[in-house]
Amino acid sequence: MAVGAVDQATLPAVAPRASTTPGALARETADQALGRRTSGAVTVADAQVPAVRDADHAPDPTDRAAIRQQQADFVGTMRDAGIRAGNPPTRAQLREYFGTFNNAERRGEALEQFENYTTAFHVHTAEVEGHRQDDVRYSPETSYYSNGQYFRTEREARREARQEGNTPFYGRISSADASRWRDVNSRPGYNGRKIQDCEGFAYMSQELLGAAGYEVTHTNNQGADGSAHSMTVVRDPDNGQIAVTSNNKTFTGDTQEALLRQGWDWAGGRGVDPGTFYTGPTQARAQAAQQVGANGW
Amino acid sequence: MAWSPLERDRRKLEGLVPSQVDLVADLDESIRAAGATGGRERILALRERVEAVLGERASVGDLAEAAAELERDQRLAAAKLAGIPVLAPCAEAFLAVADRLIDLSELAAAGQMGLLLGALVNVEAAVDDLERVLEDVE
Repeated sequence: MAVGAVDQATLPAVAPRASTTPGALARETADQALGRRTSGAVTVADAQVPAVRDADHAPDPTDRAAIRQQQADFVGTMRDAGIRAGNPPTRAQLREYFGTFNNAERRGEALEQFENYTTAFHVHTAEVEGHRQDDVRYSPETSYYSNGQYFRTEREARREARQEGNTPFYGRISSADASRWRDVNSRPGYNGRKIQDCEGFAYMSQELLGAAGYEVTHTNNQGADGSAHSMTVVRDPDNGQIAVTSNNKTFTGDTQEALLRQGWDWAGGRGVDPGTFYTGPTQARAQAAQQVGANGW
Repeated sequence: MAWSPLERDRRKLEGLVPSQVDLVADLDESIRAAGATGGRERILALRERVEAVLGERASVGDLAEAAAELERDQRLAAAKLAGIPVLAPCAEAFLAVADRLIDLSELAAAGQMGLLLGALVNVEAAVDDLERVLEDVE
Protein backbone atom coordinates (compact mmCIF):
# COMPACT_ATOMS: atom_id res chain seq x y z
CA MET A 1 0.00 0.00 0.00
CA ALA A 2 1.43 3.31 -1.03
CA VAL A 3 1.90 5.82 1.73
CA GLY A 4 0.50 9.21 0.93
CA ALA A 5 2.86 12.14 1.05
CA VAL A 6 2.52 14.74 3.74
CA ASP A 7 2.63 18.39 2.87
CA GLN A 8 5.39 19.59 5.18
CA ALA A 9 4.03 23.13 5.05
CA THR A 10 0.88 22.03 6.86
CA LEU A 11 2.70 20.39 9.77
CA PRO A 12 2.37 21.99 13.17
CA ALA A 13 5.60 23.12 14.72
CA VAL A 14 7.19 20.56 17.05
CA ALA A 15 7.77 22.73 20.05
CA PRO A 16 6.78 20.90 23.18
CA ARG A 17 6.89 22.93 26.34
CA ALA A 18 9.82 22.23 28.60
CA SER A 19 7.46 20.63 31.11
CA THR A 20 5.82 18.35 28.52
CA THR A 21 7.09 14.81 28.61
CA PRO A 22 7.38 12.81 25.39
CA GLY A 23 4.61 10.52 26.63
CA ALA A 24 2.29 13.44 27.30
CA LEU A 25 3.04 14.86 23.87
CA ALA A 26 2.27 11.52 22.22
CA ARG A 27 -1.01 11.14 24.06
CA GLU A 28 -2.02 14.70 23.29
CA THR A 29 -1.25 14.09 19.62
CA ALA A 30 -3.35 10.93 19.67
CA ASP A 31 -6.25 12.84 21.23
CA GLN A 32 -6.06 15.32 18.36
CA ALA A 33 -5.69 12.75 15.59
CA LEU A 34 -8.15 10.12 16.83
CA GLY A 35 -10.31 11.89 19.38
CA ARG A 36 -10.28 11.22 23.09
CA ARG A 37 -10.39 7.72 24.49
CA THR A 38 -13.72 6.37 25.57
CA SER A 39 -13.94 3.34 27.83
CA GLY A 40 -11.16 1.51 26.05
CA ALA A 41 -10.71 -0.72 23.06
CA VAL A 42 -12.08 -3.73 24.82
CA THR A 43 -15.44 -4.66 26.23
CA VAL A 44 -16.08 -3.54 29.77
CA ALA A 45 -18.71 -4.95 32.08
CA ASP A 46 -19.80 -3.42 35.35
CA ALA A 47 -21.25 -5.46 38.15
CA GLN A 48 -22.51 -4.40 41.54
CA VAL A 49 -21.96 -6.92 44.27
CA PRO A 50 -25.27 -7.54 46.01
CA ALA A 51 -25.69 -6.35 49.55
CA VAL A 52 -23.90 -8.57 52.01
CA ARG A 53 -26.00 -8.89 55.09
CA ASP A 54 -26.41 -11.65 57.53
CA ALA A 55 -29.47 -13.70 58.03
CA ASP A 56 -31.71 -13.31 61.02
CA HIS A 57 -29.78 -13.00 64.22
CA ALA A 58 -26.53 -13.02 66.12
CA PRO A 59 -27.72 -13.06 69.71
CA ASP A 60 -25.80 -11.27 72.39
CA PRO A 61 -26.75 -9.23 75.48
CA THR A 62 -27.18 -5.46 75.11
CA ASP A 63 -27.01 -4.63 78.78
CA ARG A 64 -24.88 -1.47 79.14
CA ALA A 65 -23.37 -2.41 82.49
CA ALA A 66 -22.46 -5.90 81.29
CA ILE A 67 -20.91 -4.44 78.14
CA ARG A 68 -18.80 -1.98 80.12
CA GLN A 69 -17.62 -4.80 82.34
CA GLN A 70 -16.72 -6.96 79.33
CA GLN A 71 -14.73 -4.08 77.87
CA ALA A 72 -12.89 -3.42 81.09
CA ASP A 73 -12.11 -7.11 81.47
CA PHE A 74 -10.65 -7.32 77.98
CA VAL A 75 -8.53 -4.21 78.38
CA GLY A 76 -7.34 -5.57 81.74
CA THR A 77 -6.26 -8.78 80.03
CA MET A 78 -4.29 -6.77 77.49
CA ARG A 79 -2.59 -4.77 80.23
CA ASP A 80 -1.76 -7.97 82.12
CA ALA A 81 0.04 -9.07 78.97
CA GLY A 82 2.16 -5.92 79.10
CA ILE A 83 0.28 -3.90 76.49
CA ARG A 84 -0.31 -0.21 77.27
CA ALA A 85 -3.92 -0.41 76.15
CA GLY A 86 -6.53 2.31 76.23
CA ASN A 87 -10.27 1.72 76.49
CA PRO A 88 -11.17 1.18 73.74
CA PRO A 89 -7.85 -0.15 72.51
CA THR A 90 -6.40 1.13 69.25
CA ARG A 91 -5.64 -0.98 66.23
CA ALA A 92 -1.91 -0.82 66.99
CA GLN A 93 -2.47 -1.91 70.59
CA LEU A 94 -4.69 -4.77 69.48
CA ARG A 95 -2.25 -5.99 66.88
CA GLU A 96 0.54 -5.83 69.42
CA TYR A 97 -1.56 -7.85 71.84
CA PHE A 98 -2.57 -10.47 69.27
CA GLY A 99 1.05 -10.59 68.20
CA THR A 100 1.87 -12.07 71.60
CA PHE A 101 0.07 -15.22 70.41
CA ASN A 102 2.18 -15.48 67.28
CA ASN A 103 3.92 -18.71 68.18
CA ALA A 104 3.11 -22.39 67.94
CA GLU A 105 2.37 -22.80 71.65
CA ARG A 106 -0.11 -19.97 72.17
CA ARG A 107 -1.69 -19.24 68.77
CA GLY A 108 -4.90 -21.05 69.64
CA GLU A 109 -5.54 -18.61 72.50
CA ALA A 110 -5.99 -15.84 69.95
CA LEU A 111 -9.29 -17.37 68.85
CA GLU A 112 -10.83 -16.96 72.29
CA GLN A 113 -9.48 -13.42 72.59
CA PHE A 114 -10.89 -12.58 69.18
CA GLU A 115 -14.32 -13.57 70.48
CA ASN A 116 -13.78 -11.59 73.66
CA TYR A 117 -12.69 -8.42 71.87
CA THR A 118 -15.31 -8.42 69.12
CA THR A 119 -18.10 -9.27 71.54
CA ALA A 120 -17.11 -6.56 74.02
CA PHE A 121 -16.59 -3.72 71.56
CA HIS A 122 -18.75 -4.50 68.53
CA VAL A 123 -22.35 -5.46 67.93
CA HIS A 124 -24.00 -6.96 64.87
CA THR A 125 -26.62 -4.74 63.28
CA ALA A 126 -29.06 -7.63 63.50
CA GLU A 127 -29.17 -6.93 67.24
CA VAL A 128 -29.90 -3.23 66.82
CA GLU A 129 -33.53 -2.27 67.16
CA GLY A 130 -34.79 -0.72 63.93
CA HIS A 131 -31.72 -1.80 61.96
CA ARG A 132 -31.98 -5.56 62.04
CA GLN A 133 -32.07 -5.94 58.26
CA ASP A 134 -29.55 -3.20 57.44
CA ASP A 135 -26.67 -3.79 55.12
CA VAL A 136 -23.68 -1.99 56.58
CA ARG A 137 -21.86 -0.28 53.73
CA TYR A 138 -18.18 0.18 54.42
CA SER A 139 -15.71 1.88 52.05
CA PRO A 140 -16.38 1.44 48.32
CA GLU A 141 -13.85 -0.73 46.57
CA THR A 142 -13.45 -1.77 42.96
CA SER A 143 -11.94 -5.01 41.73
CA TYR A 144 -10.94 -5.72 38.15
CA TYR A 145 -10.50 -9.01 36.38
CA SER A 146 -9.64 -10.21 32.93
CA ASN A 147 -8.77 -13.57 31.46
CA GLY A 148 -8.87 -15.39 34.76
CA GLN A 149 -6.77 -12.93 36.73
CA TYR A 150 -7.59 -10.15 39.16
CA PHE A 151 -5.99 -6.74 39.05
CA ARG A 152 -5.71 -3.81 41.40
CA THR A 153 -6.12 -1.20 38.69
CA GLU A 154 -8.27 -0.81 35.61
CA ARG A 155 -5.19 -0.04 33.56
CA GLU A 156 -3.67 -3.43 34.35
CA ALA A 157 -6.90 -5.26 33.53
CA ARG A 158 -7.28 -3.40 30.26
CA ARG A 159 -3.72 -4.18 29.32
CA GLU A 160 -4.37 -7.88 29.97
CA ALA A 161 -7.50 -7.79 27.83
CA ARG A 162 -5.53 -6.34 24.97
CA GLN A 163 -2.86 -9.01 24.97
CA GLU A 164 -2.84 -10.99 21.75
CA GLY A 165 -4.77 -14.21 22.07
CA ASN A 166 -6.65 -13.12 25.19
CA THR A 167 -10.37 -12.59 25.50
CA PRO A 168 -10.83 -8.84 24.81
CA PHE A 169 -12.80 -8.33 27.99
CA TYR A 170 -12.34 -7.00 31.46
CA GLY A 171 -14.80 -6.61 34.28
CA ARG A 172 -15.24 -4.02 36.97
CA ILE A 173 -16.81 -5.16 40.25
CA SER A 174 -17.86 -2.75 42.95
CA SER A 175 -18.11 -3.80 46.57
CA ALA A 176 -18.46 -2.02 49.90
CA ASP A 177 -16.76 -4.25 52.42
CA ALA A 178 -14.50 -3.30 55.32
CA SER A 179 -10.92 -3.04 54.17
CA ARG A 180 -9.39 -0.50 56.59
CA TRP A 181 -9.47 -0.25 60.35
CA ARG A 182 -11.16 3.12 59.96
CA ASP A 183 -14.08 1.30 58.32
CA VAL A 184 -14.91 -0.60 61.49
CA ASN A 185 -13.74 2.04 63.95
CA SER A 186 -15.84 4.89 62.53
CA ARG A 187 -19.14 3.05 62.75
CA PRO A 188 -21.90 4.50 64.93
CA GLY A 189 -22.31 3.09 68.41
CA TYR A 190 -25.11 1.22 70.12
CA ASN A 191 -24.98 0.81 73.89
CA GLY A 192 -21.25 1.37 73.84
CA ARG A 193 -20.43 -0.99 70.95
CA LYS A 194 -19.76 -0.25 67.28
CA ILE A 195 -22.42 -1.49 64.88
CA GLN A 196 -20.98 -3.90 62.30
CA ASP A 197 -22.08 -6.66 60.01
CA CYS A 198 -20.30 -9.81 58.94
CA GLU A 199 -17.89 -7.97 56.63
CA GLY A 200 -16.61 -5.87 59.51
CA PHE A 201 -16.09 -8.91 61.71
CA ALA A 202 -14.32 -10.72 58.85
CA TYR A 203 -11.99 -7.76 58.42
CA MET A 204 -11.20 -7.76 62.15
CA SER A 205 -10.36 -11.45 61.87
CA GLN A 206 -7.92 -10.61 59.10
CA GLU A 207 -6.30 -7.88 61.20
CA LEU A 208 -6.20 -9.56 64.60
CA LEU A 209 -5.85 -13.27 63.86
CA GLY A 210 -3.48 -12.31 61.07
CA ALA A 211 -1.34 -10.55 63.71
CA ALA A 212 -1.36 -13.82 65.65
CA GLY A 213 0.21 -15.53 62.66
CA TYR A 214 -2.84 -17.21 61.20
CA GLU A 215 -3.16 -17.50 57.43
CA VAL A 216 -6.50 -15.82 56.73
CA THR A 217 -8.78 -16.55 53.77
CA HIS A 218 -12.05 -14.68 53.30
CA THR A 219 -15.22 -16.39 52.18
CA ASN A 220 -18.44 -15.05 50.76
CA ASN A 221 -21.54 -17.07 50.04
CA GLN A 222 -25.13 -16.46 49.14
CA GLY A 223 -27.74 -18.80 50.54
CA ALA A 224 -30.76 -20.11 48.72
CA ASP A 225 -32.90 -17.49 50.50
CA GLY A 226 -30.78 -14.64 49.10
CA SER A 227 -28.96 -13.85 52.33
CA ALA A 228 -25.25 -13.37 51.87
CA HIS A 229 -22.60 -13.95 54.51
CA SER A 230 -18.92 -13.23 54.96
CA MET A 231 -16.62 -15.37 57.10
CA THR A 232 -12.94 -16.21 57.34
CA VAL A 233 -11.05 -19.48 57.37
CA VAL A 234 -7.88 -19.22 59.43
CA ARG A 235 -5.08 -21.79 59.30
CA ASP A 236 -2.38 -22.26 61.88
CA PRO A 237 0.84 -22.53 59.84
CA ASP A 238 2.56 -24.59 62.53
CA ASN A 239 0.08 -27.43 62.92
CA GLY A 240 -2.23 -26.94 59.93
CA GLN A 241 -5.32 -26.72 62.11
CA ILE A 242 -8.27 -24.85 60.64
CA ALA A 243 -10.76 -22.55 62.36
CA VAL A 244 -13.64 -20.52 60.96
CA THR A 245 -14.80 -17.12 62.17
CA SER A 246 -18.39 -16.06 61.66
CA ASN A 247 -19.16 -12.61 63.02
CA ASN A 248 -17.80 -12.62 66.59
CA LYS A 249 -17.74 -16.41 66.94
CA THR A 250 -15.02 -18.93 66.14
CA PHE A 251 -15.47 -22.59 65.25
CA THR A 252 -12.86 -25.32 65.59
CA GLY A 253 -12.41 -29.06 65.76
CA ASP A 254 -13.98 -30.25 62.53
CA THR A 255 -13.42 -30.29 58.81
CA GLN A 256 -13.31 -27.00 56.96
CA GLU A 257 -16.57 -27.77 55.21
CA ALA A 258 -18.30 -28.61 58.47
CA LEU A 259 -16.91 -25.49 60.18
CA LEU A 260 -18.13 -23.22 57.38
CA ARG A 261 -21.54 -24.80 57.67
CA GLN A 262 -21.52 -24.22 61.42
CA GLY A 263 -20.59 -20.59 60.88
CA TRP A 264 -23.38 -20.16 58.38
CA ASP A 265 -25.91 -21.84 60.66
CA TRP A 266 -24.86 -19.72 63.61
CA ALA A 267 -25.37 -16.50 61.65
CA GLY A 268 -28.96 -17.46 61.03
CA GLY A 269 -28.65 -19.66 57.99
CA ARG A 270 -29.81 -22.87 59.63
CA GLY A 271 -32.07 -24.80 57.33
CA VAL A 272 -30.99 -22.81 54.29
CA ASP A 273 -28.63 -24.15 51.63
CA PRO A 274 -25.52 -21.93 51.93
CA GLY A 275 -24.51 -22.42 48.30
CA THR A 276 -20.86 -22.17 47.34
CA PHE A 277 -18.29 -20.54 49.61
CA TYR A 278 -16.27 -18.26 47.35
CA THR A 279 -12.83 -17.34 48.57
CA GLY A 280 -10.19 -14.66 48.29
CA PRO A 281 -7.30 -13.07 50.17
CA THR A 282 -9.55 -10.10 50.93
CA GLN A 283 -13.29 -9.79 51.34
CA ALA A 284 -13.52 -7.71 48.16
CA ARG A 285 -11.74 -10.44 46.24
CA ALA A 286 -14.02 -13.11 47.67
CA GLN A 287 -17.06 -11.10 46.60
CA ALA A 288 -15.56 -10.58 43.16
CA ALA A 289 -14.95 -14.33 42.92
CA GLN A 290 -18.61 -14.90 43.67
CA GLN A 291 -19.55 -12.59 40.83
CA VAL A 292 -17.55 -14.48 38.25
CA GLY A 293 -18.23 -17.89 39.75
CA ALA A 294 -14.57 -18.64 40.39
CA ASN A 295 -12.58 -19.87 43.38
CA GLY A 296 -15.37 -21.67 45.15
CA TRP A 297 -15.45 -24.34 47.84
CA MET B 1 -12.95 -29.27 49.37
CA ALA B 2 -10.22 -27.80 47.24
CA TRP B 3 -9.36 -24.57 45.54
CA SER B 4 -11.03 -24.17 42.16
CA PRO B 5 -8.68 -22.56 39.64
CA LEU B 6 -9.52 -19.25 38.09
CA GLU B 7 -9.44 -21.05 34.77
CA ARG B 8 -13.18 -21.45 35.22
CA ASP B 9 -13.55 -17.69 35.13
CA ARG B 10 -11.80 -17.51 31.78
CA ARG B 11 -13.79 -20.39 30.34
CA LYS B 12 -17.07 -18.88 31.44
CA LEU B 13 -16.21 -15.57 29.85
CA GLU B 14 -15.42 -17.38 26.64
CA GLY B 15 -18.80 -19.05 26.76
CA LEU B 16 -17.38 -22.50 27.36
CA VAL B 17 -19.33 -23.13 30.53
CA PRO B 18 -22.87 -21.97 31.26
CA SER B 19 -23.68 -19.44 33.92
CA GLN B 20 -24.69 -21.11 37.15
CA VAL B 21 -26.42 -18.37 39.08
CA ASP B 22 -28.60 -15.45 38.20
CA LEU B 23 -25.99 -12.95 39.31
CA VAL B 24 -23.55 -14.25 36.77
CA ALA B 25 -26.27 -14.29 34.14
CA ASP B 26 -26.79 -10.59 34.84
CA LEU B 27 -23.09 -10.04 34.33
CA ASP B 28 -23.23 -11.88 31.01
CA GLU B 29 -26.07 -9.61 29.95
CA SER B 30 -24.08 -6.54 30.86
CA ILE B 31 -21.21 -7.83 28.73
CA ARG B 32 -23.49 -8.12 25.75
CA ALA B 33 -25.01 -4.72 26.40
CA ALA B 34 -21.61 -3.07 26.73
CA GLY B 35 -20.43 -4.10 23.27
CA ALA B 36 -16.97 -3.64 21.86
CA THR B 37 -15.74 -0.15 21.19
CA GLY B 38 -13.01 1.35 19.09
CA GLY B 39 -11.86 3.27 22.12
CA ARG B 40 -11.46 6.66 20.41
CA GLU B 41 -14.17 9.14 19.56
CA ARG B 42 -13.24 9.54 15.90
CA ILE B 43 -12.94 5.78 15.40
CA LEU B 44 -16.35 5.26 16.98
CA ALA B 45 -17.73 7.89 14.62
CA LEU B 46 -16.10 6.08 11.72
CA ARG B 47 -17.78 2.83 12.76
CA GLU B 48 -21.14 4.59 12.91
CA ARG B 49 -20.54 5.96 9.45
CA VAL B 50 -19.64 2.53 8.04
CA GLU B 51 -22.77 1.06 9.59
CA ALA B 52 -24.80 3.93 8.17
CA VAL B 53 -23.42 3.22 4.70
CA LEU B 54 -24.20 -0.47 5.03
CA GLY B 55 -27.69 0.46 6.19
CA GLU B 56 -28.03 2.78 3.19
CA ARG B 57 -28.42 5.78 5.49
CA ALA B 58 -25.26 7.53 4.28
CA SER B 59 -23.36 7.76 1.04
CA VAL B 60 -20.18 5.91 0.18
CA GLY B 61 -18.67 9.21 -0.90
CA ASP B 62 -19.08 10.69 2.56
CA LEU B 63 -17.41 7.65 4.10
CA ALA B 64 -14.46 7.79 1.71
CA GLU B 65 -14.04 11.47 2.47
CA ALA B 66 -14.17 10.93 6.23
CA ALA B 67 -11.64 8.10 6.04
CA ALA B 68 -9.33 10.23 3.91
CA GLU B 69 -9.51 13.08 6.42
CA LEU B 70 -8.70 10.73 9.28
CA GLU B 71 -5.85 9.22 7.28
CA ARG B 72 -4.36 12.64 6.64
CA ASP B 73 -4.50 13.48 10.37
CA GLN B 74 -2.68 10.26 11.27
CA ARG B 75 0.13 11.17 8.90
CA LEU B 76 0.31 14.65 10.38
CA ALA B 77 0.56 13.10 13.83
CA ALA B 78 3.28 10.73 12.66
CA ALA B 79 5.26 13.56 11.13
CA LYS B 80 4.90 15.61 14.32
CA LEU B 81 6.42 12.85 16.46
CA ALA B 82 8.92 11.40 14.00
CA GLY B 83 11.61 13.88 14.96
CA ILE B 84 11.66 12.76 18.58
CA PRO B 85 13.66 9.52 18.81
CA VAL B 86 11.85 8.13 21.84
CA LEU B 87 8.53 8.61 20.06
CA ALA B 88 9.52 6.90 16.81
CA PRO B 89 7.40 3.80 17.66
CA CYS B 90 4.42 6.10 18.11
CA ALA B 91 5.01 7.68 14.72
CA GLU B 92 5.13 4.25 13.12
CA ALA B 93 1.91 3.25 14.87
CA PHE B 94 0.15 6.35 13.53
CA LEU B 95 1.36 5.47 10.03
CA ALA B 96 -0.01 1.95 10.43
CA VAL B 97 -3.41 3.40 11.29
CA ALA B 98 -3.17 5.63 8.24
CA ASP B 99 -2.41 2.65 6.00
CA ARG B 100 -5.45 0.79 7.25
CA LEU B 101 -7.57 3.87 6.64
CA ILE B 102 -6.37 3.99 3.04
CA ASP B 103 -7.55 0.40 2.65
CA LEU B 104 -10.94 1.36 3.98
CA SER B 105 -11.16 4.46 1.83
CA GLU B 106 -10.22 2.58 -1.34
CA LEU B 107 -12.70 -0.21 -0.67
CA ALA B 108 -15.45 2.34 -0.11
CA ALA B 109 -14.55 4.18 -3.30
CA ALA B 110 -14.61 0.88 -5.21
CA GLY B 111 -18.03 0.00 -3.80
CA GLN B 112 -16.69 -3.14 -2.09
CA MET B 113 -19.37 -3.00 0.56
CA GLY B 114 -18.92 -6.57 1.74
CA LEU B 115 -15.35 -5.83 2.79
CA LEU B 116 -15.94 -2.60 4.67
CA LEU B 117 -16.46 -4.10 8.11
CA GLY B 118 -13.33 -6.19 7.82
CA ALA B 119 -11.34 -3.10 6.84
CA LEU B 120 -12.85 -1.23 9.76
CA VAL B 121 -11.79 -3.96 12.19
CA ASN B 122 -8.26 -3.65 10.82
CA VAL B 123 -8.35 0.09 11.52
CA GLU B 124 -9.55 -0.57 15.08
CA ALA B 125 -6.82 -3.17 15.59
CA ALA B 126 -4.20 -0.69 14.42
CA VAL B 127 -5.58 1.85 16.91
CA ASP B 128 -5.33 -0.78 19.66
CA ASP B 129 -1.70 -1.29 18.72
CA LEU B 130 -1.17 2.44 18.94
CA GLU B 131 -2.71 2.49 22.42
CA ARG B 132 -0.26 -0.19 23.55
CA VAL B 133 2.63 1.83 22.19
CA LEU B 134 1.34 4.94 23.97
CA GLU B 135 1.12 3.07 27.27
CA ASP B 136 4.74 2.02 26.97
CA VAL B 137 5.97 5.60 26.51
CA GLU B 138 6.92 7.41 29.69
